[in-house]
Amino acid sequence: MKFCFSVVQELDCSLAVSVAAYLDCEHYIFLHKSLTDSVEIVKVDGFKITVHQSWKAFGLKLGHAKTGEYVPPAEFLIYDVKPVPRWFPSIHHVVDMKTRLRYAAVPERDSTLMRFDVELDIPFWLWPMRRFLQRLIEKLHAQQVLEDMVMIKRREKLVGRKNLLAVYLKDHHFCYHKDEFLKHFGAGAGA
Amino acid sequence: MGASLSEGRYRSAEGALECPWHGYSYSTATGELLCNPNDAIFGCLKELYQSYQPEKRPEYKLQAYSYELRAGLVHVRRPASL
Repeated sequence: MKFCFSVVQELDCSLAVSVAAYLDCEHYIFLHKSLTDSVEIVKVDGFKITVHQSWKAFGLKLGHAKTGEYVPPAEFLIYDVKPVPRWFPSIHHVVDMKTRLRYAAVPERDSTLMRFDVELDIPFWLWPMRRFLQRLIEKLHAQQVLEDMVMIKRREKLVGRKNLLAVYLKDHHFCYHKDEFLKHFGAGAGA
Repeated sequence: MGASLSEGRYRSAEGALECPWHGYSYSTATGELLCNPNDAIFGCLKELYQSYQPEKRPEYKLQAYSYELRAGLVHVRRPASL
């Protein structure tokens, strides 16, 4: 049974900076340490990257594998979420989750409209729990957005709002799909 | 860049201070960058993108300031340039 919900929020930063902060994978296990302990790249296929994300609990390394896809210039999909190890009793055995995150520019305020769509395929016996799952996912998503915004705002204070994107455009700065990101948001891209 | 290192993790065995945002660790003795743990995590991706040029990285280094402990308080001497 399909259950869908969306979160819409305006972020006080430019579209390019929103996308850059999402692609800035080097902060995933440090800034978002309350959400994950480790990330391992499992497979790379163009704009699709499969990762194994894990947590340490009871002396074990538990987590899930998921595929994240970048749909340029400002859309991100997550699907194929599977528990790792497979014997681990996880909600992902019975609930199939797909998410779609889209960013759009709000030119009049130099801000970003974020839309986070979640689709859950839930067995009938878990249907009464759908609102609980929704609140849990919304809470995790809100925490991640908040931590990203704290980083963006601190950097903005240091270098100025207009210069913030330059931090992410530097040659030595690494991020997911960097070549594609520069095509859309790099110098001369007009984004 | 921009993180508050006072929120970073101190690894006493290595004498290193870890950036709370990206995990870069620095020597507390010299301020020099000791390692970027993400090189191991994302190493396979770092070879894929032509626009990523790590050799152009500036020398990341922490600035050390002289300090004194007085009556249980840390007094940091601010350089004239700040």
